[in-house]
Amino acid sequence: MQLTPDLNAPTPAAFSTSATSSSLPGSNGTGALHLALAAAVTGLLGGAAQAEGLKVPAAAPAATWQADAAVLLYREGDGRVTALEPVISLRRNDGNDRTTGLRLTLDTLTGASPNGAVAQPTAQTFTSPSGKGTYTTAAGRTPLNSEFRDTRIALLASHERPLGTDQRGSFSANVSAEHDFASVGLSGSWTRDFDNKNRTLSLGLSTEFDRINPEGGVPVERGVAFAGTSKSSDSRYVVDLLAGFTQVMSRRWITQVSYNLGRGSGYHSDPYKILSVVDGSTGLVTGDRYVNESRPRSRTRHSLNVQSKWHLTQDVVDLSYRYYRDDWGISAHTLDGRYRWELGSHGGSGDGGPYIEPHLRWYRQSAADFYRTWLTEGGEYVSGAAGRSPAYASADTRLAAFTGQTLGVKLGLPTGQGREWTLRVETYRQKIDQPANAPGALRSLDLTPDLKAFTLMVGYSRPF
Amino acid sequence: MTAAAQPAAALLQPLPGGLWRGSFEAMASPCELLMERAGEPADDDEGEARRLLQIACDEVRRIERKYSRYRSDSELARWHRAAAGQPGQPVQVDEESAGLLDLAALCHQLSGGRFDISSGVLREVWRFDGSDRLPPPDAVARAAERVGWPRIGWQRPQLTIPPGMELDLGGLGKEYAADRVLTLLRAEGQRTGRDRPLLINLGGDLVASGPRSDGSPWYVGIEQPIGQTPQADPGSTHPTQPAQPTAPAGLIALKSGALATSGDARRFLLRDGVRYSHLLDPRTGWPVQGAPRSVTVAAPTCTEAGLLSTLAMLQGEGAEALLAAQGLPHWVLR
Amino acid sequence: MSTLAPTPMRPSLPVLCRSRRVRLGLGLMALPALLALGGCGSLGVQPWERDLLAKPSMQLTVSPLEAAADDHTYFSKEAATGGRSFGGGGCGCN
Repeated sequence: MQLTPDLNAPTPAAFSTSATSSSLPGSNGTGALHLALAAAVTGLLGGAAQAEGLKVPAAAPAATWQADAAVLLYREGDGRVTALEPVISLRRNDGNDRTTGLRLTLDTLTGASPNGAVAQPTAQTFTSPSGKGTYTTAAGRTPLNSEFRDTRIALLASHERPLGTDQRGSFSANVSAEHDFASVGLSGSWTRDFDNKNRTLSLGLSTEFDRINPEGGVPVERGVAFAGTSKSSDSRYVVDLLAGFTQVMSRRWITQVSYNLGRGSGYHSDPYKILSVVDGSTGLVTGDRYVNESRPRSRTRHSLNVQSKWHLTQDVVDLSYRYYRDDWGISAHTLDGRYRWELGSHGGSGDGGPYIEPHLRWYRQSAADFYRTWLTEGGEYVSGAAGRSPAYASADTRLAAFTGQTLGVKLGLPTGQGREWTLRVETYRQKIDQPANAPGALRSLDLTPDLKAFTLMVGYSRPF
Repeated sequence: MTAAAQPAAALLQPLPGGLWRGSFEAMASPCELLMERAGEPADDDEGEARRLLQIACDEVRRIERKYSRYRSDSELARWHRAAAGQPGQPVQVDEESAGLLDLAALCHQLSGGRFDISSGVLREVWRFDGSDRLPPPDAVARAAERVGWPRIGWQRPQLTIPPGMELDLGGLGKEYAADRVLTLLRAEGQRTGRDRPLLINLGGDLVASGPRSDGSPWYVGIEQPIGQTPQADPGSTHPTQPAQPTAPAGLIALKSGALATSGDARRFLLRDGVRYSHLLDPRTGWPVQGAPRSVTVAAPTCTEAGLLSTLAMLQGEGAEALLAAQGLPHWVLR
Repeated sequence: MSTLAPTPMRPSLPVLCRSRRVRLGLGLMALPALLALGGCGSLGVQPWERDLLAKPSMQLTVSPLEAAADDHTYFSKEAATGGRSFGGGGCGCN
């Protein structure tokens, strides 16, 4: 899903553009104008640098390039998913404020992912999605679909340019493919500055078309699991609207509010996920045993985001909050904070020094209306030819009620001439709400184990 | 445009209080160089002073010759000729010019477009002779179409001037020359091992190398708009000291650094009780609204002081705010 | 540097916005407050005061590559998406 090109353009991506008119490096006192002039004049007069660290913004050369590369390593505990994601991005500014960029992402996934069935006091065996084999889960463990190996490749191309006084436009196209999923998308945005670029309004539209081509075909939603498929593929398309408003509050404070409205139509279910049908008193699988999940064929999402950044004497504080709500009954709060602690001692003159940036994120979401940890035989679900099943049901923990906490730290090491190395380490922990009224044997099992994940990301950027 | 007639030679005379005063005409202004007399035999010292004066005079005239818009042999004229002769083709400029153009570009950016060295063409329609004759609006509009620094192709070291447009470095010239003279004289003083306190004053834009050898400041008179005496920032809500409590009105005490003034003492138009300052807003072609009568700024170099006073004037009503934010001594007269 | 009497510096915010409560409230409240900005029309800075805001560390998205990687990770683990700008492509991780 892609909305605006986010390719590290010299003027930041559409919805955060406002303080872009000047490319002056920093100064920590009042009299910024005077200091900028002083630097330029001492350069002109050939005198010794009176303002150390300040550089005259040179007239734009013919074209400048910026290359960014990074590798992300993501690893979940308990033998779950491991992902390795190298990415490289190249941007070109033609010297007249027009930027073109290309970003290539590779994503290799290995490991196992929960298949939606609940743990049982005995071992369980499932047919793998390709239909060619089976896998077994030990007693008491949450079933994981171990045949989870995939490589995704994604390409994003974008262009951004001024459209007139105080206006900018951007356009981007993206394509992504993995063995069972492909997507293409287009997006465009327009931004307008007001009041000496102190205020920026931005509007964006994005569309995406996805084709889902699961191994073994698309299972019959709500149907008994492992019982054949209805068709080989399905699709969906998503349209997003984004409106953003950025305001410079003071020399040290900028804030942005944005609202995102998205609508998806088509196949939204996860073709590899099932639910367990359990007995209401014993908690053991019974009847049809496992059924394919089923999600609505449309989804409307709202998201309201507020972000503020404050430049202290040298350090920068970044705080944001997001409220999310969709018509599947999920609402979520996200609180994110970063503190960039500049280690250099130049008195804040420019981003020249190393920094450490601790990061805290707190996330809380409510469950989807149709989220079920299991289905109870005889309740919502009745097995057999004359049975019934709820229209929508899913045991995907992504739709469950949970709290997510991220704790991380980033280390930035500029190495001169605009080059920078970054190292980021984060831990993420998801505590899923324990389901109420677990029947029988399920009561003594950990049905919704915490997700623990560790992230390592190394990045390098360099202009040339 | 023809080359100017041979300029008059520089004149050196002793002043009471142990000073030499060198004077010459350049950049359509009276220029003076005040040097402290060194404690050596009078003859050697006078020869030395003459040499320094000649260096100063030569440098100011060099800059004038290079960037004058009135001379056909100036570097500026070469740029305009190249632009006229080969439209769209860039001309290579030297390091010094590149530095000045970068400075002009920076000021354009920092002032939000109010400082614009391509605005000289507006001179063709505006005549500030104290009368009430305003130019016709369509003439102003036509001239304003030929103004706009963003349309000038400046990619160091290549300059491309579109047809119909002209550059004018007059807003930078005098102050830059004052700083250059100080740089050269300081270098000369270090070379000969005789570093003497001196002050360069080019028509009111001045810079001093340091205090007098006894530590006292240089006293300089500043030109006032008719009928006004200088007061320290009348808009400030906090009590301030006057420039120099014991000095006579009209004098400023300068220990080191530079002083530059922008003002409209004699160049304005008056019509229906509205005073049109000679400072034109390049974005519209019309005079800046609410510009102060004069702005004087003190800064480490004359170029900075001059640019800050010009930028403050261009802000019109916002002059005091701009200057207040810089933390430098300044005087605004309205 | 000249030793002429310095003119005292004024606070950089106009009177109306000097109140800390007003500033905090304005910053942290959502859309309605910012849309009603007519009442506090002197927010913002002059072009020459953009030095700090122009620093890379003060951009709303400092590192797009990291933001994209994070967005992708959270997209595959959480239900909420979007809000700001985000690039990249779709993926099958729902």
